[in-house]
This record gives sequence, C-alpha cells and structure tokens, in this order.
Amino acid sequence: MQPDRWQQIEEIFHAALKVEESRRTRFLEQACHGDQALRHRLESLLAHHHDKESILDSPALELAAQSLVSDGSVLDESAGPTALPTDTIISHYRIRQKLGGGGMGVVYKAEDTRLHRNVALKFLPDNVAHDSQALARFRREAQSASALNHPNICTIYDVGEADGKAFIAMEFLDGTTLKERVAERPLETEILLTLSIEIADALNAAHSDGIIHRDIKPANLFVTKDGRAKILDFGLAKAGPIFEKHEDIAATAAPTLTADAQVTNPGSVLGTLSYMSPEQLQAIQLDARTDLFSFGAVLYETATGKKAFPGNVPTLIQDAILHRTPPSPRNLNSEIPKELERIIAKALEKDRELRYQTASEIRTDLQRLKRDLDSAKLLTAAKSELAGETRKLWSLILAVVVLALLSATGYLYFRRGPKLTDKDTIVLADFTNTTGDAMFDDSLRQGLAVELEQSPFLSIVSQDQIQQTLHMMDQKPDTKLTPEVAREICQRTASAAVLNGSIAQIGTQYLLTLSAISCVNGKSLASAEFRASDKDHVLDALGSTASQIRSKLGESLASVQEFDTPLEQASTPSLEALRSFSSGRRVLSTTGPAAAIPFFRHATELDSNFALAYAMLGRTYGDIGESGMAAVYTRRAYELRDRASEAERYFITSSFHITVTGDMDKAEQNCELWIQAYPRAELPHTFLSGIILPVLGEYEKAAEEATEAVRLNPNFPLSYSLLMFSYIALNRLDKAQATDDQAVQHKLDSSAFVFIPQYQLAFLKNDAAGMSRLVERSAVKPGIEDQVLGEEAETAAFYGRLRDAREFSRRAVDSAERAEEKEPAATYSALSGLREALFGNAEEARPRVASALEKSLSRDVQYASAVAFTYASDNRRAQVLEADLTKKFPQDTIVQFNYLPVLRARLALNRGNPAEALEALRPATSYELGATTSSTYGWTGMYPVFVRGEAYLLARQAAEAAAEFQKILEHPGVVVNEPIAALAHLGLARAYVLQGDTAKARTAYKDFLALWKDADPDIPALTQAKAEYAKLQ
Amino acid sequence: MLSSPTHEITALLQAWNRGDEQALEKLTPLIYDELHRAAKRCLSRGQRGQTLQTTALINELYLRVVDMNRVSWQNRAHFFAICARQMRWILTDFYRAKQYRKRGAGAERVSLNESAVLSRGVGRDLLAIDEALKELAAVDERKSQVVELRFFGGLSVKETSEVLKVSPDTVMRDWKLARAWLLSELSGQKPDAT
Repeated sequence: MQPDRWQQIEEIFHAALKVEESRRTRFLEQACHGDQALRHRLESLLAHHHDKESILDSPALELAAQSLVSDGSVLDESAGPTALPTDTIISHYRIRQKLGGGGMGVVYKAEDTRLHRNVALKFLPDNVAHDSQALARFRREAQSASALNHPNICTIYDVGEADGKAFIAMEFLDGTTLKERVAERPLETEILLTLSIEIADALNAAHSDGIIHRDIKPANLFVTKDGRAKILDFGLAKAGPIFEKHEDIAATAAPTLTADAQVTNPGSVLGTLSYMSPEQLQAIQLDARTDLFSFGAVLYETATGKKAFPGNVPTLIQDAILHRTPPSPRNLNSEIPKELERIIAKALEKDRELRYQTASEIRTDLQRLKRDLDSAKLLTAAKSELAGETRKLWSLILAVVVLALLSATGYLYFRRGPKLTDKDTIVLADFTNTTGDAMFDDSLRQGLAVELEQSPFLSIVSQDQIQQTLHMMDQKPDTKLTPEVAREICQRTASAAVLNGSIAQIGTQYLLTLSAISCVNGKSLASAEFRASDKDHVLDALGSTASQIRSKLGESLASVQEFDTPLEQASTPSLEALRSFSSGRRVLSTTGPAAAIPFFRHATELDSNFALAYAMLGRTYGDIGESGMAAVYTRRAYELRDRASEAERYFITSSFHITVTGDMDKAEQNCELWIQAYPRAELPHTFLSGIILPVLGEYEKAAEEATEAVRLNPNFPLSYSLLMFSYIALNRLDKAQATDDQAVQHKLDSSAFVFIPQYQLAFLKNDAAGMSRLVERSAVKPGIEDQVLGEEAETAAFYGRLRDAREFSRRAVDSAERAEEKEPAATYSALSGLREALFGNAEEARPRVASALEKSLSRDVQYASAVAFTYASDNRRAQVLEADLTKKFPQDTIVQFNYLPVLRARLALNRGNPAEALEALRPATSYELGATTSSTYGWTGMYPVFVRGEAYLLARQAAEAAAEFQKILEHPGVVVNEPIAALAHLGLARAYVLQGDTAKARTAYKDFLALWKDADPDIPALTQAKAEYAKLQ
Repeated sequence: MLSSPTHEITALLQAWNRGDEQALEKLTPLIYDELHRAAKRCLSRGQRGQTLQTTALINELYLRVVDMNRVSWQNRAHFFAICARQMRWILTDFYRAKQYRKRGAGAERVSLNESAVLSRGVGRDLLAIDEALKELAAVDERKSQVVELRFFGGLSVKETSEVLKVSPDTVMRDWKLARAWLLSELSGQKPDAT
C-alpha cells in the first residue's frame, strides 16, 4: 500500500462517515472518480466500521484470558495441548480445575465420583509414564506410601492409569507451599516451630514405617489454610527418572523432579539440588537421616529467608553442601533464638553420624524450645485468647478488663511506674510482614501512626525527621526501618523507644504484635498482640493493639479512652486506601508535594470518605500554589471531618479556615485549641507562624511560633524557613542568617523550603553572588525553580531592568507549566502584568494579565490582575474582578482587609476621588503590614500603604503622603524586592516636592535614579521621574 | 517496599527520557519479565472467572516497579507505551508458541495468511492483528501505535492521546480507520486497493 493511497483512503473514509448512511453510495461514487478498487476498499472499511463488539473492542489480554478459560491452559510455555478440559472423566475421577504444574507433571482438582470427595489428581510426565521400569518403581513406592496415615502427610488414595497416563490421586489440600510462604522472608519463630514440630512428627511416623522421603524441600511442604503442615509426595522420589543432566548421581539416590504437587511453580533441578544431603550427592546408600539433613536446610531457610546452600550453578551448590557451613542464622535474623540455631546446625551436620539420628530427636528439641518460649509469653497469650472476634463494644469492655488485669499483674511483676513519660518520643519501625501479602507493608505502619497520633501522651518521631536522620546516617530515603535501623534513629533523635510491629498469618487468621523496645538498653518495655479473624478485621485489631500498647507504656486509661476513635472510623476501613495514603506521606517527605499528589488522590478514589486523604490532597495542592484545587479538596475533608480522629480534626479545621474561607481569626483560634489539646504537635505552630500570623502582620509572634516548631522538631526544614521569613519581615537579618546557619548544620539547606528565604536574605544584603548561586541550585529542582525565577523577575524590576524582568517572568511561567502547576504560572504572568502597569506600560500589561486570567481565576491571580487593570486605567475590567472577589470571599481576611480596600481605593483614584479612596482603605489599617498570600511568601505586601500614599498625593496632603511612603521604606523585610519598594522613593520625592522641600525631594529622586541607574531607558516611570528631577534643578 | 528492579527500571526510564536510546534496550527485557509474570497471574485469575483489566494490571505493575519519587509524568507515559508493546509481544509469543506445538518444530513463523488456515479463535485473531499492524505501521506508524496502546495496552482514548501527544479527537479518528481496516483484513476480504 502506498502512503498517498492510504491518505486518500483516510480522507474519503472520514468524509463518508459524516455523510448520512443512505447517501453514502452516491458520495463514494463521486469521491472515488470511477476508481473501482478504491471504492471497494472504502465500502469494506465503512461496513466494518459498523461492526459491533468486534475483537478489537476489548483489550487483548482480556480476550486471551477469556479464551483460555475454555481450553484450560495458562500463559506458560510448558502448559498446552496436554491440559484436560473440565468435566473430563479419567477412571472414576471428574476433572474440575487445573491447579498447576509445569513440564514435569500436571495437577488437577478432581472429584472422586464414587466417594464424592475432592482429590488432587497428579499425572506423571510422559517420560515416566512411558518408561516401564520407572513406572513399576513408581507404583511400588506409591503403594507403600499410600499406607502412610498421618495428619501431617498428604494422603495418597489411589495410583492408577488411564489412556496411557499414569496418575496418583491424593488428598486435596487448600493453602500454599512453604516455598511460597517463605519467599525471601523468614517466618516468625512461633509459627516456624509449630509447623516444624508437625513436620518432624510426620517424618518420624514415615521413617518408623521404613519410608524415606528423599526430597524434603519447601516446595514439598504444604501449609493448609487452617495452619497445618503437610508433607507432599511421600515416597515418590525414587520413582522419578534420575537427573538426566546429572548422570553422576546414582538412580537410587535421586529425588524426583516431578514432586511439584499442587502448585504452579515449576520444579527445577536447582530447586531440588539445594536441599540434598551430602550422602545423596555422593550416591551412598541412603537412610532416614538424609531427610533430616534436608529438613535442616528447610528450617534454615524458613528461619532466615535465605537458602542454606544457595547458588545458580549445580557444581557450586554441590560444593557448598559437601564442604561449606552456611552463615550463622542469627546473623541473618536476630530474632532467631540461640537454641534454634543450635538445632539447625545439628541437623545440617555433613557427617550423618553427628547429625540428629532420628526425627523424634529433633522433634523433641523443637518442642522443648517452643515450650520455653511459650511460657515466656504466658501473659500475653492469656489475653489474646480473650480478644479474638468480639464485636466493638465487647472488645472495648474486654480491653478495659484486660488492661486493668494487666496493669495489676504489671504492678505485681515489675513494681515500677509508667514506662514512658509525656516528654518521650518514640520511633515506629516498619512492620515485619510474614504473610507475603504486600498490602500490609506500608499500610499497617501508617495505620498505627494514625492511631498513636491521637494520643496526647505519646509523640511519634515524624516522617520528615526520620528522613532527615536517615540522610545523616548516609542511608537512602526509602531504607526499610528494620528494628535495627529504627533503633539507631531512636538513638540519634534522643527518643525513648522503638515500636516494632509484626503481622503473621495463622491459617485464615492474622496475628498482630507490637513491642516497645528501649533504644537505650534494648530491653522490652511493653508488648501487645491481637488476633484478627480475617483480613477485613486487621485494621480493627491494629486499633485494639495500639490502645493496649498506649496504656502499657504509661498513658492514663482516661486519656486512652478519650482519644480513641477506631481506625476505621478515624481514617479509612480500606487497607488499600491506607496504603496509598501512607505512600503519599512517604513521598511527601522524601520528594515533595507534587509527587505525593497522585497517591493521596488514589487513596480518595479507593475510599471516597477518607477525610484525611482529602485534607492532605488539599494541603499538597496548596503547597504547590494551586489554591483552587486546594480549596476543593480541603472543603471535602471538612465535610467529612466527623470521620476523623480528634487530632486530624484540628488539622482539617485549620486547613479549612486557611484555605477555603480564608478566615484567619478562626484559623488562629482553632490552632490555639489544637496546641492546648496536643502540646507536642508541631503543625499548629507551623500554620500559625507560616500563614496565619504573617497575614495578621504579627511577625514577632510568628517568630515565636516558628521557634517552637523548630524546638519540637529540629529536623523539619519548613520550620527553619518560616523562622527565617519572620526574622526577615522584622528586619533582623542577623537572626535570619543565624537560622539559616542552623539549618545548614542540620543538613537541611538543600530542602526546597529554604530557597526563597535564602534568596530574600541575599537580596536584602545586596549579595548578588548569593542570589545567583541560588538560581543555579534551583535549576535542578522542579517545583522550586519557578519560584526562584519569579524572585529574579521581581529583583530585575526592582532595579528597573524591565526587559530582564520580562524574560525571567517568562521562564518562571514556562518552568511552572512544565511542572504542570497552572496557578503559579498564572501568578507569574499576572505579577509581570502588574509590574508593567505600575511602570506605565499599559499596553504591555494587558496581554500578560489576560494570559494569567486564562490560566487561572484563583483569588490571588484575580487580585493581581485587577490591580494591574486599575494602573492600566481599565476600571471596567477591574470592577468585574472586584465584584467577583467580594462575592466569593466574604470571610476571607486577606480579601476583606487588604485586597478589596486596595482595589476600591485604586478605582476611586482613577475617578479622581482621593477622599473616597482614603475611606475605602480604612479597613486595611490593622493588617496593612500583613503578608497577602496563603502560601509561605508574601508578594503584594503593603499595597494598602502605597495606595494610601498615592491618595494623599492626589489630595495634596504632602506630609501624610510622605509618611506612607516612608513606612514602606522602613519595612524592607516586608516588601523585599517588590516594585513598590522602588517606586516608594519616587512617591516620597513627589510628596516632598508638594511640601516645597526641594532638598529632600532632590535626595529622594537621586535615591530612585541611583536604584535605576541600569534601568531600561524607555520606561515611562523613569522618563517621567527624570523630567521631574530636571525641573528641580 | 520497593523491589530491586525498581531502581533499575526507574533509572533506565529517566535515562531514556534524556534521550539515551540504549536505555530502552535494557529496559525492555526488565519490563517484559515483570509484565509476563503479572499477565500470567492475571490470566490464571481470569480462569476463575474474575474480570481483569489491562490498565489495572499495568497500573499495578507501574506502582510496583517504578520508584514514583523519581519519575516524571512523561516517564509514566513512556512506561505505558512500553507496556503496551510488551503486552503485544507476550500475547503473540504465547499464541505463536502454541501454534508451533500444533504444527511441529519445523514451523518458523505464522504469517497472516498461514494463520488463516489454523483454527479460528482468539489466538489466531491476535496473531493476524499483530501481522496486520506491522503492515499498517509501514504506511502509517501512528495508527498502528494507537491500536497497540488501546488494544494491547488497554489504554483509554485520553491516555492514548497523552502518550502520543495528539488530541483525543485525533486518536479517535485514527482509531476508527485503523479499526475498520484491521477488521476488514481479519475478515479475509481484501479487495486490493494498492
């Protein structure tokens, strides 16, 4: 097919689709100009266009999956033509479902039509079935094995042959193999012991009957859903054909490769080899002790998560088995009891004379160990029985009873006071998850954090602080918080204890345990455990366990009861949502707000009532300057606030007042209450110092709050940044610098948060090199680069370098857009327009403002645009925006006390009415030094003062005008590099002219012209200033 | 917790995004392995009659193997594009392997015409679509990509438009024609228009 031909087809095809069907024939006739081939082609295409439910309308994978249902194969090279369809009858078995199997034999679930029970039907691979000697040996062995009757051995019911296929019918089991259970993760000692005692017992029974397994390995050990161990494929090992590729191994010694039972994992030579005894490799006559060696290798792997004899080449594995002692299990997993290590070592003796001689010996040792550990756990065991599956009310009552009992016994046993005080902090380690279900990986730790954050007594080391400490430990941000790592963090943060958690599956139940370990001496302070009847109740159990541990660590019962909203009410009943939420929290502290947004959003998709996830989504949008989105999600969180815990509710309510209503008085009150209830929470101090108090112009108080936030958490970069802003606003540059040095000491200076105050500090110190350094450093930081470029634009404009300012603004807009941050992009554009209008370039101002308003209609963008319109003498547009702001933000402190007074005064000035302007500005008096944005940096501070100065000038009240402009020049830390900071000199000069004070006027003009010595010469504000100055000469 | 291929995949995605074409060569087998495992799980789930969705599968895989902290949105689009390509290979390889077994070891590859003589069914259709797409790619690369992303990758119109950086309308137009053309190829009527 030729490309131009194709293009022709495409054009006519789409054109034809627009034509009514009845007229298409005619249309094609005309369009194809007698080209019959073309016409046929198009007719065919159009006909197929109307095909309904064609193969292309479902994703390919779904089609494949559906089609495979019918032929029963899986996406596995070895499966294929041999698969049997459902309901096929083999002998007296009806095939139900394929369970798995690779090239070495296929296993089906089948129904025994005579006895009406489920069986597992295993077909031998063809090469066995066709080898008459092997088949005979298989039958002999299987028949003797079928005599075995033990609860921990998978029973063989029948050995048969049909259609030339040899099969075994055996007990149908539901569960997983140990191979899947362990998969790189050690089992908890208690579960390991329970299972291995059963296995040892089964081995003992078989050995007593003279049957050796020969192929004990994790894939042949099954754990049923109710938590029992079952040995699979007993006695079948001998039947298989020998390793065809390893002919040096004697036939009698070879384990089977078919022993892959009821699961899909294809067996492999290596998989089996790793568990073979030295005598098997040496082809010596085998006895029961070979199984004990293999069992030892399984125990080693189950306890450590690592193979005793690993390797990916047969010779290496063989060499390890024959000559090497595996590394000490306790080095790999410190939880392993010493005695277990000894037992494993004895089972793995290479010389079988030194090994355990019988299975009953090893069983006895394992049982003794279990008994010793059990009696140590007696206390907790008693109460976990009590817990179980009771409903909420009951569990509450029981918890109280149990807690009372425990504190009584605690008193008797230890005779000492509470374990922790309300001055201590604790570190949460990651949960040890042995269930193999990744769902529990992050979510439980997050859930526990939510539970414990409710407690005014316990204070958890924050995620930010953990990241910071990991950084100091030279660890990666995503380092797993194992008990060891957590303990080091605990020590470094001068915390009191580490809380280690674990979850294990016992049958269908889940066992949750928590233990608090002192990081000073490593001693256990308290522990708690709870059983969940199933996965849906794990969060419930987590809540109960958390309440227990709170009380055991010394929190008063009254406090535990008062601040104990169950997790599934407090946060979410969805583990998945909690997991996504906790990923978001982690990403927020390791990477930043923009990266965290998808996770929080996903959490809200999974649970549409997840109040805290909406709140965090709102906060992160706020952090990247998207106030519109921030308001939407924060409002939603506020609507759902009843579904949050006490502490979360304070957070949500404060956010709501800051982000949605803008009512800073209410926000302040709420933060005060929050601090009273949770004196150790740092967030209310952050809100107060970062947003609320600056808006109210109370920078002294803001500095105090920021100092408190730093004290509560010396590793949170934002707090340093806020403290720097406060000091800068107060013109205490030395203090700001000292704070910066402090941040550097804590290695926090690379955080994006401190870039802007550092920049402003450099600006105020006239440190051009310092500013450029920050520009360079920010270039590699998405999400901060635009802010620094925005600052650069302001600085250029401050010095009258308007062309440079335009270029910086353009780059800031680009950078924000690249980071998909629409509202900040709009803000840079609006500020750029405002600057042009202030300097007298009305024509340059309009397109910039228009582009800003196209990008966003947020509060701040509307305001900056409206001010720009007033300076561009476009009252009509400014009025529209003013009316909209009035309507939308009736409670907003910034809008009511700053934005609207400025806009109304500017409109009055444009109408030539200074008295009205001064009246309009009256409400602004109390907050006129305040910052004017809900993010952490103020960008249109002191406009009420500037406009009041203009009004007095127009009213010819010279002294009053001079005082206003003077006020701006006295607060360089509030206006920093804003254009009005430069224009205030000009205003002052004009006020002095009006006053008739030529000398002072001349000085003020000179100050302005000195500031603008490198300015672009064609700026109207500049040419006018020069002309006015010339007249004074 | 993040698995070890995560860092590798993330780093390679970033390298590729910076224009390092070799990164793609290294990336492909890694994603193939992961996706193959996921698809296999998915198919066996499908056997038990549960519904499954390709995008859900790929999303899950993405969350699992890519370190989200370190990749941009563009990386995500790349990732989906690669997944769609890999899914195409996985499914066609799977059915091709089945065909070999049926036809004996001598068979080299199944072409559109050859596959027509094989038994009807999803496998045959998928292979035929795969072959037809190669033909389509020769004259109109983007349309074959649209089909690959939507049909093999399970992507929505919007997602497809994001990956290909064209408007959703363009995707829809491309899809309509490509779909009609493929169905007409599949139906075996192939009036020669070349």
